[in-house]
Amino acid sequence: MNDKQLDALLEQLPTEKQPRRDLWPDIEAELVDPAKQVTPAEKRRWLAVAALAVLTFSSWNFMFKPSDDPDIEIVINIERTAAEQIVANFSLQKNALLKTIEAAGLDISPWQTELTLMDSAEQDLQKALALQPENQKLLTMLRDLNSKQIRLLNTLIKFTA
Amino acid sequence: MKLINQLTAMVVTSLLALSAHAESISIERDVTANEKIEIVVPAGKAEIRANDDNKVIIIGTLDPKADGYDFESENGVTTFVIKQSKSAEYSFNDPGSVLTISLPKASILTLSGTSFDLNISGFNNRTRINTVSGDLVAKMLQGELKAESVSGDLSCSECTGKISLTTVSGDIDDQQSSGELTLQAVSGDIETDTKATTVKLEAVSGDINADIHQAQQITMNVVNGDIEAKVRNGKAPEVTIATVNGDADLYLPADTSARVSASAVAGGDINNEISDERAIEEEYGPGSSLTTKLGAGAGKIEFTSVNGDLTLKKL
Repeated sequence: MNDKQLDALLEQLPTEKQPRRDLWPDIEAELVDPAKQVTPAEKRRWLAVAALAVLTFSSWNFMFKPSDDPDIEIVINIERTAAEQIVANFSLQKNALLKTIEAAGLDISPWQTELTLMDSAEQDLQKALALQPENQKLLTMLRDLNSKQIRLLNTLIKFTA
Repeated sequence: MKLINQLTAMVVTSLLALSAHAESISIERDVTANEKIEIVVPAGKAEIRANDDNKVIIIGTLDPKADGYDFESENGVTTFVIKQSKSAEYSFNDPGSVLTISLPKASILTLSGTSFDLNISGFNNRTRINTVSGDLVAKMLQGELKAESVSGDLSCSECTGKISLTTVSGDIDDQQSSGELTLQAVSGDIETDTKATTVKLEAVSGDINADIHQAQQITMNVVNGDIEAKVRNGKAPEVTIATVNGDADLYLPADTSARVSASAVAGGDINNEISDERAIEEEYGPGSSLTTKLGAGAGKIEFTSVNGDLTLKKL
């Protein structure tokens, strides 16, 4: 059967289909079934659960409120794409390593070309991920590249210290 | 020309002057067969050979700028450390220490230095090497070899076992390795002619040139560098190639059995010269992709590129 034949058969099908029996009684029973009505005891239980949820959320918000210090900021943002989340986590690690390098007075300028090149490639990958945000292979490449960047910084710290 | 002659004369004179002050060293000690041995040489070069006599033998001349050395050996652990003078400023012309070292062939070795060139062969246990700018020439090592350098070149021939060579700006050359092979460079190039069963090659801006004879598990990735890889075992290869901006040419034998899946996300071209299928370009984007089955499709070959070109070629 080709696509045209399939389309012709689909055209012949009715646009509406009625249920074989009247379903409203069942629906009505579900809506007003006294056995399923919430009792006062259940209401209290639900209120307790709701209160606990509010308390938990408040505590969470208090404990993990973003700090002014970027080093201890915890990256939790469910609206970020996978790529943005990877890059955000990587940036934290990278900044920490760059601070270590700066604090130790290490000269990594001879490898600035390599570092810049990797940054540039990271941007290329992010552009590609903007086209295909769910592409797992690209996400893996981004993670790999970030690992390489971290590894390079660690190597430079290890050998130039 | 006159200036060059004068400069050459100055260099030779400096070297002679330095060598004239070099302290000779000669150490010999009986140790265990699988002694843990740590050697630290800040600057210089060493020939390190394996022996069957369970002896540590170190002879040569000490770096004129060194502050002596420490040698200790007890409870199966031996350390030889040349002490670097904190006030010493090293230049390219400094000869450093020049050593010939003989160690039990089953020693567990840790060798490190800054500008320390190493020529090592014949060991069969575990060897760790760290240098900043020194070059490594390793031959016929067995067991585990892990070498790491910043700007040194790493060369390995006829090494067997778990091999891992990593450098930032140096080049890597591997010939006739077998076992598990991992080669990683940042801006250096990687060249390998290997019989390893698993191969992992990574470069950032360096190029990869690989002739892979037996491996079925192969991973290669580059950022800006190019890949040229010959995979000679086509029975059921599991090959993963990823590149951001570099091009990749993969050569496969006529009897290859694998499913091929290739995608270039942001503009790279995919060229298939080994079967009839052609890459399909996205209708509403810059990407293109190719899927094809070679032979019975037993293995899996995955190409992923952002901007680089991917080409499948006949071996």
